[in-house]
Amino acid sequence: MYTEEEEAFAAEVRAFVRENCPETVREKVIGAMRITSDERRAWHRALHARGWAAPHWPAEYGGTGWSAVQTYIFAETLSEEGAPDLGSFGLKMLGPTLMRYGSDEQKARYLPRILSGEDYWCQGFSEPGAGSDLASLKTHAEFDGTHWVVNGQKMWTTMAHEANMMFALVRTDPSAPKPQMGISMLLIDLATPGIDIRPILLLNGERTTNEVFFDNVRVPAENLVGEPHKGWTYSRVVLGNERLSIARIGLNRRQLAKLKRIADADGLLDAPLFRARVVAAEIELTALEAMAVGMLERARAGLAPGIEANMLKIKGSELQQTLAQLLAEALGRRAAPYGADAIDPERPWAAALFKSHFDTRVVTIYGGSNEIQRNIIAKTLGLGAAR
Amino acid sequence: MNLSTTQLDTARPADEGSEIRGLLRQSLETLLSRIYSFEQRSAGRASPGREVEGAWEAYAELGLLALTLPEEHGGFAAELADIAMAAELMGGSMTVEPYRPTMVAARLIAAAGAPDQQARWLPGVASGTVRAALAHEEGSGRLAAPIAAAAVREGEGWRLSGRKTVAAGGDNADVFVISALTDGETVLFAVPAGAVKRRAYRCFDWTGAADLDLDGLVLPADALMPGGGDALARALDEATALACADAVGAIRAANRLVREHTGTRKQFGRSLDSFQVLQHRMVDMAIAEELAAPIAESAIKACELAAPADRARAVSAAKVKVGDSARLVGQECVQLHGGMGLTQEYPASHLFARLGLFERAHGDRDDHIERYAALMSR
Ligand SMILES: Cc1cc2nc3c(=O)[nH]c(=O)nc-3n(C[C@H](O)[C@H](O)[C@H](O)COP(=O)(O)OP(=O)(O)OC[C@H]3O[C@@H](n4cnc5c(N)ncnc54)[C@H](O)[C@@H]3O)c2cc1C
Repeated sequence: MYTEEEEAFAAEVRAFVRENCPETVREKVIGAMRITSDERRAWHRALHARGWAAPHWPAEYGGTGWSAVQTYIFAETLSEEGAPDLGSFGLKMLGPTLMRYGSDEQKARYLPRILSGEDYWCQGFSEPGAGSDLASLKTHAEFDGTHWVVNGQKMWTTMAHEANMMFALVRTDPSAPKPQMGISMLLIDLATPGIDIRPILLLNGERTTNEVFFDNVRVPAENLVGEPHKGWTYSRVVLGNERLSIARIGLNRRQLAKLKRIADADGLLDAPLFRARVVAAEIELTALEAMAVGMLERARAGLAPGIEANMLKIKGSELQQTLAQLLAEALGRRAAPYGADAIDPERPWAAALFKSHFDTRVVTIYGGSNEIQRNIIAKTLGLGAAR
Repeated sequence: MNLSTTQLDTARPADEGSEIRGLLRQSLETLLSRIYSFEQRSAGRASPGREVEGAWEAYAELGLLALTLPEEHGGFAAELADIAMAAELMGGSMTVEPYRPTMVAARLIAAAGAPDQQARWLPGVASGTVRAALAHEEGSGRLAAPIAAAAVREGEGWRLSGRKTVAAGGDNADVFVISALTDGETVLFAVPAGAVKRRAYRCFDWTGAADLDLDGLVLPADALMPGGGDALARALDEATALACADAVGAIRAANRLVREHTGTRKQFGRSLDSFQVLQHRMVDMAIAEELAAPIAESAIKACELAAPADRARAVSAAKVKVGDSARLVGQECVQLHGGMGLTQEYPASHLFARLGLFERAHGDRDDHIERYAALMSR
C-alpha cells in the first residue's frame, strides 16, 4: 500500500514517538485514561521542537510541506503508538481558517502561538437550542464603536476550562434575510470579564466539556475574523478541515490490536462466534483504509475531497463504536466495575473499557452527527431533486 | 424527570396470583414515583451509602423481600413472576439497591440450604435486615467456563481457595452463597460476609458489586449447603430471567424518554420526531420493546414450570433477544438525544449504562447462542 520511502518515514516517526513521549503517557492514552494537561503540553513542546506540531500546515506558517500521504501516515502512526492528541481546535480548525480569512495581524499573532501550544483554543459553536441546526444560534454581539459586546450562552464547549481562547460564532445581524447570513466569527480571550465557564459532567464522571455564559463581554473589533456577518462561510471551512483524519483509521488500528491482545489472553480468539466478529471488524478496517488511500491519491492529484469524506466519517466513527463494543465484550462481566475502588491491580486498564465504550458513543454525534452527514450525502447525490 | 410513573400496558394472563400482583405493582409504582424520581436517584447514588435512603426498608415494608420465601421464615407465598414484575419496575427507575441479587441468593438458600441455614438468614432477608448475594462467576463470567474455586476438607470443616469476580450486590451483602468444586462436584456454602475478604466497588451503572478472595477461607462443616449444582443451575437461570425483566423495564423507560425528547426538542424549526429517518429509528426501538417483553416473561415462566433443558433454552433465548433489544435501544437512546444523551444530569446515559451492562452480565450473547445450540432440537 505504501512505498518503501513512506514505510521508512513511518518508522522514523515511530522511533520519534517512542523516544520523546514517555511510555507511561502512551499507556494511559492506549488505556483510554485521562492524561494531564501538563503531559499534553510536554508532548506538544517535543513535537514543536522537532517542527512537527502542525505537519499539515503550509511551510510558510511553520508546517512541514509534506505530501498529503506523508501527513496522513504521520497522524496515523502517532495515533497507533498512543501519542496524546494535541487537540484539533487550534491546529486543525482555527489555524487553517485564519490562514485563509484572517487579517495579517491575526495571522502574525495567533498562528505561532497555536503552533507552540502557548494558546490553547476551544470551539464555541453549539448552544442549548442550536446543535444540528447550528445556524439558529442566539448568542449575539453588538458593535459599540470599538468593541463587539457579546451576550448569550454556548454549550458543549470542550476544554473551555483548560483553554485560554475561544473562536465563537455569534449573531451580529439579527435582521439578515437568512439566519446563516447574520453570523460572525469572533476570537475571544477567555480572561475577559463577564465570561462564566461551568462544567458539564458526562456519565463517566469526567469534565471534558462545559457551558459558557457571556454577560456583556467586550471583544476588540480587531478580533473579528474576515468580514462581519460572513462567519457562517468561515465555519464551513472550520468544520470541513478535519476531513481525512476524522475517520481515525490509526486509532481504529490501535484498538483492533488491543482487542486481539485482550481477547487472545482469554482464549476468545479461538471462540468461533467472537472470532468472526473480530474478523469482520478487521475487514471493515481494511476496506476503510483502502477508501482513505483512494481519497489521498485524489488529494495528491489536487482534487478536493467530496462526499467520500462524509462517508468515511460515518463508517470510521461506526467502526470506532464497534471496536469499543467488542473490547467491552472481550472483558465480559469484568467490564462492569468502575471508579477508583474498582481498579483491579492486575488489570488497571480494565475499569476504563466500558467507559471508553460509552465515551465512543459521541463520535456519531459530534462533528456533524451521522444523521446530518447522511442528509448532506443525500443532498449531494441529488436525491429528491427531480421533483 | 420522573422515570418511575410507569404506565405499563402489557396484558397479563389471568392467573391466581394476578390480583395480588396487580396490587403489588400499584404499590411499587406509587412508591417509586414517591421516592425514586431521577433526581432522588441521583442524590442517593452520590451519597456515601450509594443508595436511595429508605428504599430498602420500603421494599421490605411492601413485602417485596419476602416474595416466594418460605412462610415459616417470614416469607410470603408468591411466584417468580411477582419478583420479575418488581424487577421490571425497578429497571425502569434504574434502582441501585441489590434487589435481584438478594432475592436470587435468598431463593437459593431456601431451595438448597439446611433448615438451620434457612432459619439463620431468611427471616432477616424477608424483613429487610439481611442482604444476600450469590458469588459464583469468575473472571469474565463466561457461561461455559468451569469454576476454579475449590473446597477441600480440613478437619471437620472446609478450606476454600480461588476468586469470585463482580458478585452483584456483593458490596453490601451480609451473607454470600459461594460456589466451589470439591472432587469434581459443585458445592455451595452459605457464608457470613464478615468472614470473606472482599473488594467492594460500584459498577458503571452505579449498582454495587464485589470481588471475593477465597484463599485461606476456612469454614465450619455446617456452612455447606445440602443442595448443589442443580439448585445453582436453576438459580443462575432465574438470575438471568430476572435481569431480562429489569432490562425490559429500562427499555420501556428509554423508549418513553426518547419519544418525549424528540417530541419536544426542535431543530430546523421542527420537532425531531417529525424527521422520517428518526421516526423509523423509533419504530425499530418500539419493535425491540415489543419483542423483548413477552420473551422475558416466557423465560420467567419456564423457570417456574419447565424441565431443566427447556428452562435453559427459554432463558438463553430470552437473554439473546432481550440483549439485542437492549443494545439497540440503549445506543439509540443516546444517539437520538444528541449531546444530552451523554450527560450525568440526564437519564439517557444512565439507561445506556444499565442496558449495556445487562448485556455483559449472566453470560453474553455468544454464550447463550452456544448453550441454545447445544440444546436445540434438529
Ligand atoms: C462530548 C461532546 C463534546 C462536544 N464538543 C463541542 C465543542 O467543543 N464545540 C461545539 O461547538 N460543540 C461541541 N459539541 C456539540 C455537538 O457538536 C452537538 O452535540 C451536535 O452538533 C449535535 O447537536 P445536539 O446535541 O444539539 O443534538 P440535536 O441537534 O438535538 O440532535 C439530536 C438527534 O437528532 C438528530 N437530528 C437532528 N436534526 C436532524 C435532521 N434534520 N435529520 C435527521 N436527524 C436529525 C441528530 O442526528 C441527533 O441524533 C460537543 C458535544 C458533545 C456531546
